[in-house]
Formats: sequence, C-alpha cells, structure tokens
Amino acid sequence: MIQEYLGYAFSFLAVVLAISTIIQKNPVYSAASLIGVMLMLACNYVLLNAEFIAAIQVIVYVGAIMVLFVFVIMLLNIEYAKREKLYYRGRIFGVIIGVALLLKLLIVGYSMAIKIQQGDLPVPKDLDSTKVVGKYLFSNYILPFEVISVVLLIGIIGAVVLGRKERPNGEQKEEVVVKTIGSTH
Amino acid sequence: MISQMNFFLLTGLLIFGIGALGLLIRRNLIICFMSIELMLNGVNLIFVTFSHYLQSAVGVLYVLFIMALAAAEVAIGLAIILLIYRLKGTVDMDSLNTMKG
Repeated sequence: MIQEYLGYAFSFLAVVLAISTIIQKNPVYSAASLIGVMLMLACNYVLLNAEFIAAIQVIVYVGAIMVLFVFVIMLLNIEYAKREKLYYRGRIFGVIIGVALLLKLLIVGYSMAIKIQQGDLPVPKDLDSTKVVGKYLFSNYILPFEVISVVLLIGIIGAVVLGRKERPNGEQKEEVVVKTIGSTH
Repeated sequence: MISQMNFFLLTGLLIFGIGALGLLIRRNLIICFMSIELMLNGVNLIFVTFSHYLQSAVGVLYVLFIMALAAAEVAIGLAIILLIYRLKGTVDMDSLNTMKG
C-alpha cells in the first residue's frame, strides 16, 4: 500500500519537474529540473522491480549525460538565453500542436486494450532484475549488444572529430611550437 | 480509480508529451535537446512498466539499448551545438537560417 502512494508521489513530482524543465528561462535551472525528473523516474523503476535499470539511470543519465549538459551550458553564454521571450503570438501554434499531440496520445492510450497477458522472454521466479538482464543480454540479445558497442565507438569518434579545432594543414602545429620556443629565448 | 499500471503508463505519456511540447515551443537549442531526453525518459518508463506487469524481460533490455543510444546521441549533439555556437555566437534556433528553411 505504501508503495502505491510512493509511486503516485514520485510520478507527480516527475511531471511537475518535467513542466519546470521546459518553462525555465535559465538553462541551468532547466538542467537541474531534468536531473530531478531522472531521479524520480529512477525511484519509479525501483518500485517496478527494475533495480538494475534504476542504478543505470542514475549512473548514465544523471552522472554522465547531465554532467555533459551542464559542462556545455557552462561554455555557452547564458545571458543571451535568459533574454529569450517565452510568450508571443507565434508560439501559440506550437502550444496548440503540442497539446493536440498529447491529447491524441492520451485518447489512443486510453481507448486501446492491451491484448497480451504475457510477453516474450518470461522472467523466472527465482531471479532478480540484474540476473535476468545479464542472462538475456548475453544470450538472446548478444547481437544488439555488440551493435550498440559499435554505435558508442562511432559516437566517440564523431565527438572527437567535431570538437577538434580546424587546421588548414598539418604543418601549422609544428610552426607554432617553433615560434613559442623561439620567443622564450 | 485507475490501476497502478495505467497510472505509470499515464506518467510516461505525460512526460513524453511535455517533452514534445518543449521541443515545439522553445527556441534554445540546449533546452530543445533536453526535451528530447525527456521524451526518451517517458518511453523508458513505459517500457519498464510493461516489462514489470507482463512479467517479461524485453522491456528492460530495450531500455538499456535506448540509454546507450541516448549517450552517443548526446555526445554528438552537444559537439554540434558547440560548433554552432563557435560559428554563430548564439544557440538560438531562429538565427540558424543558413539553409533558408
């Protein structure tokens, strides 16, 4: 019973913080609200018996992705972002389309009956969430697991290539080094 | 009174919809990117809810793959945002009109 009320509280906080994420002017407050949403969702995952996913959510999303966001916000000029006007007439169309999409999702989700009683890959009774993930990740889902490692490798290479400073040719770097050495003497 | 499964599904749908709304109404590239993360989180919650109530492991495994994809996407997307900032001096979407779109 207490778990049910905890689920309601976490979900309510998650929705409130999600609204706060998209209406804050300052990107730092927005990022803080998004961290709150992710922590609340991690609490929900614990209630849903997915402890491994909850731990990974905190480590990967909060610990890696949001830290990256905050670093990039630090590099940008947030004084300009604070001057963004939130309310003007052209924006009302975006609000209408967004609310229509949300209502459509809610109506379809409400009117659709879930026909299946039991999914594929049943969870054995004596295994906890972490063991289940490990068991199926390295047997049935070994190919997507390998593919996702290649995707992450491409992500690393892409970030390095995009973040590198533009250099017209290869010899410029050595020239700069020679100049600095010459200037010290 | 709705059941608790429907309540978690409703939460996931609401977070997804709020993320889509933020993507539509905000003009700051960083906040639009955060809205995409919100949408991914809403989908993750729906996956885990179905995985728990249908006693199936597929949802949990897909959440892992979505998280790995989100990490790669954020690394590349933030690098692109930094490049745009270096090029234009701003991250406002309305100033990105080079392609006359």
